[in-house]
Amino acid sequence: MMVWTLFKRNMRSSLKILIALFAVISMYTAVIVYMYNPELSEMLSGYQEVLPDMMAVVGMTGIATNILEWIQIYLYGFIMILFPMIFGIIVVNKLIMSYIDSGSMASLLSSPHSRTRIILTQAVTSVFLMFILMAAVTLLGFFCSHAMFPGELDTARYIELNASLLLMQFMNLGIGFTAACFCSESRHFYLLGAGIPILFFLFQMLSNMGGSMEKLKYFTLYTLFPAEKIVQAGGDVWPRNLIMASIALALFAAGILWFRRRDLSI
Amino acid sequence: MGQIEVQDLTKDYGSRKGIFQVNFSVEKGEIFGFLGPNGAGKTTTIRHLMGFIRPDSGSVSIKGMDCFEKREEIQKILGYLPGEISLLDQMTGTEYLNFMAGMKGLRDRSYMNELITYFELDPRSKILKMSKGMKQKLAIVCAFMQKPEILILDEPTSGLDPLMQIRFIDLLLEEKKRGVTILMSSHIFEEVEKTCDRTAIIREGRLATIENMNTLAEKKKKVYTVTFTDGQAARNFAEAAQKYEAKVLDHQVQLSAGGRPGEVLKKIALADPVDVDIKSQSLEELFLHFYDKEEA
Repeated sequence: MMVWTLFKRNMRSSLKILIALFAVISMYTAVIVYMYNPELSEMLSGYQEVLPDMMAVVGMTGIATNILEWIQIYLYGFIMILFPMIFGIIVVNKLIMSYIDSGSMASLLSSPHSRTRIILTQAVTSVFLMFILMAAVTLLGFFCSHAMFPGELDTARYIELNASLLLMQFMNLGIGFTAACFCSESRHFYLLGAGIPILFFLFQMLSNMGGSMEKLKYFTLYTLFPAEKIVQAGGDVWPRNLIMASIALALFAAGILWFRRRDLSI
Repeated sequence: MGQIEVQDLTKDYGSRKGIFQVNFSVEKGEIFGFLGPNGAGKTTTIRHLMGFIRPDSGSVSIKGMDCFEKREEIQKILGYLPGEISLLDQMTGTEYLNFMAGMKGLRDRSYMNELITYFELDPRSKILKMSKGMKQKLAIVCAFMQKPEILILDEPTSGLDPLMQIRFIDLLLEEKKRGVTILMSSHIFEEVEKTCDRTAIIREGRLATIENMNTLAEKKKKVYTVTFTDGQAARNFAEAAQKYEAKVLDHQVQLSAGGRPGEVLKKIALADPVDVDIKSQSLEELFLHFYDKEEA
């Protein structure tokens, strides 16, 4: 069901951006892991007392009693949501939207492959790239933790945390993918494919501040990401994972179905 | 049944844009020209044939297969040259050709290399840095390289220098000998005149006429420019020759007439002019009134 020539081409053209995003996230991950020590945690919770809103906005609330909690508080509320999201938008733009906007989709479609196969190849590539990025970051975090603080990281939960985050990023990717399949112009794509994830992100930050803003959490899909639950082992996260996976799948399916039937003025 | 069938094809984009009730068919081995001013609907028609867009009503088919539903089947036997060339800018020409050959499942690349040599194309530089003409050559190679049964070419010679235009026309005629069916849109009357068997004229989204290029030659009129010594003589002559669409320009009179020249020449001889100039009407002049909005 895939066009391998196209898949190979996709991978080659996306390699640079994959490496760039991996480098940025790696730097943050390494620095945050390096900074882990319970004393600093106390100091930072001091910040939380002085600047409660500031710290809450970027999801940095709570006291870290172990390295997993530390990572979750200082990486997974902001960096690990934002940067893979940006990566997804760039990838979808590169693999689908730019072909439609520039008209070079005509090159891809003047080949004996159905639209379904071509768009499916692009969908699979984007999912695969997101998987590689997240897997690489997970491995890096794992090695950093074990190198600097041997035996401190709860590996199973760390992987669970990243698996859930991957599903959440698939939802983001699905939003971008569907937007690209619907839109004819880049500016519309950015409005939807980037605008909606960023809006969700803003809602999430505002709802973190609590008070009346907290209701905003019902308007962002990121609320489904069960980070705290995983870290505190406070319950079953599979229902939420399943919901996120279903939403992602539904978005991709909608994009593919629409792309099969749409008019392409290329 | 033709290789390419377009029946009552309508795509309405609103405010009189689009194409309306377009009908034509292209027979096997025929070169079919598609002429019309910018925005007349040539590219829109071609997009239907490529299965990029769906008709509002009517149908388009190639070898009996619906162009939208059976797109991938049709692409196996079709070569396409887009009107607005947009290739993958970040690749070099060589990478692009190899990529497209891969997409088309083309193993034997000898014809591709022949075409590169034929058009004196150096595909090693980045497409982004290429001139319009180079990109055009690249797109031509891409359309022809798999030796398709049917070719759809949207303004194929735009951007090519005169020498390359001639080579392209030769290539078209070679392909025709192989029995290839070709639909070609164009702005250039000369290339249409040299290559096409039949030509459709489209304007404002509607097919104005389909002309057979062989019988068209008979329809061509001749333009006689008759020069007199003074304006009065010219006006007198014009009055006498009214039925030949006489136009007075100072002391010259222009007549245009079809059929045999004897009768006209006799009339001219009687008026005893200073000079006579006779020109055959070009295809351009013959078709130009289709381009003029006022005359419709």
